[in-house]
Amino acid sequence: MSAVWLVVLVVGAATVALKATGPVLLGNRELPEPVARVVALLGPVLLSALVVTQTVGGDNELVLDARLAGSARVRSRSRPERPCPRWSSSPRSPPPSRDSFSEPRPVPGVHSMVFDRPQSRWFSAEVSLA
Amino acid sequence: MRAAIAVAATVWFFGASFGLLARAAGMGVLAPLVLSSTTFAGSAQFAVSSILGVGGGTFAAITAAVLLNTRYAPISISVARLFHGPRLRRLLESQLIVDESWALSSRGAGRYDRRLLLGAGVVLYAAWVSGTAVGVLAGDALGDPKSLGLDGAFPALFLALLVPQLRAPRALLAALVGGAIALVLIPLTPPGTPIVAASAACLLGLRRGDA
Repeated sequence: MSAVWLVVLVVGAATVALKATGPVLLGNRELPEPVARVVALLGPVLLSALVVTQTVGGDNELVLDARLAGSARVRSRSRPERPCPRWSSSPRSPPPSRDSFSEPRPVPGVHSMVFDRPQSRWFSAEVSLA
Repeated sequence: MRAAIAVAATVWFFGASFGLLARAAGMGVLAPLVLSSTTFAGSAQFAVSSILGVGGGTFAAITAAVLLNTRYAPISISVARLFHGPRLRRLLESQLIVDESWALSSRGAGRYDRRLLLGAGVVLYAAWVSGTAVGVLAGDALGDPKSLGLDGAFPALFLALLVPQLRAPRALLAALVGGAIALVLIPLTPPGTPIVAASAACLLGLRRGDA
């Protein structure tokens, strides 16, 4: 079985079971109050983490490297966890590089900066995220 | 019900986005459709496709998605009284529980409207699965969706799902702490791990006091 199908089947089965928890298994029993409070925070916390990882991970992995170098340009995009309405229309907070919606992304020059520094501890992390 | 149809239009668009993004992540055609049919939960499905898309691994994708959907245990418990009849019927009807149908059916003070929950659930389910199908097939016609920059839509999608959940001060604080944990771990751990580790911020819920 491929990794994709393993994920699809396990996640599907787990979600079916989670949604059935109340109606099928528990009936009218309630979760202990502290547990219910912890579980109630899972939604906002995990979504926030996803916003962060999708904003500065992946394509924007170089932000981390540039931030460490103290780049003034990157400072303006270094608050990914702050909900900022502007992001709704422009998901990657910096202005999109040219033609990002019409043709394959050009490899920005900043890539070469990372690869010029293979001794950096960030190097392996950047590659694994790319 | 009118509200449910308006929400369904949005959900359809999100479903199409998921289909496109799942194609971009290399999930093929059938797997995203099966995931939409069985999971029917946007944030977890987007998490799966984004983690698989960056090569984050099976375990990370499953863990993040299951953690994201853990909220359906308390959500389903909150509406458990609305479900009657044989166990199989309750099992099938409970699959129509989704954030939006649950929110629409809320009558305040812990009361919920069964007709709205299931009615909205059916409409949203149809919108989600058909949207996914269109997204997956349109992805075929358009070629590689990554070339359109659609993978950049992930943060906006998650943000759109996150913002309505931040009304309570505690939720806002936990979201900020979780985001900070993820931010610190991004360069240090494999993709997916920061998301799972961020869930430690949920322990803020152990504190007593106002929500």
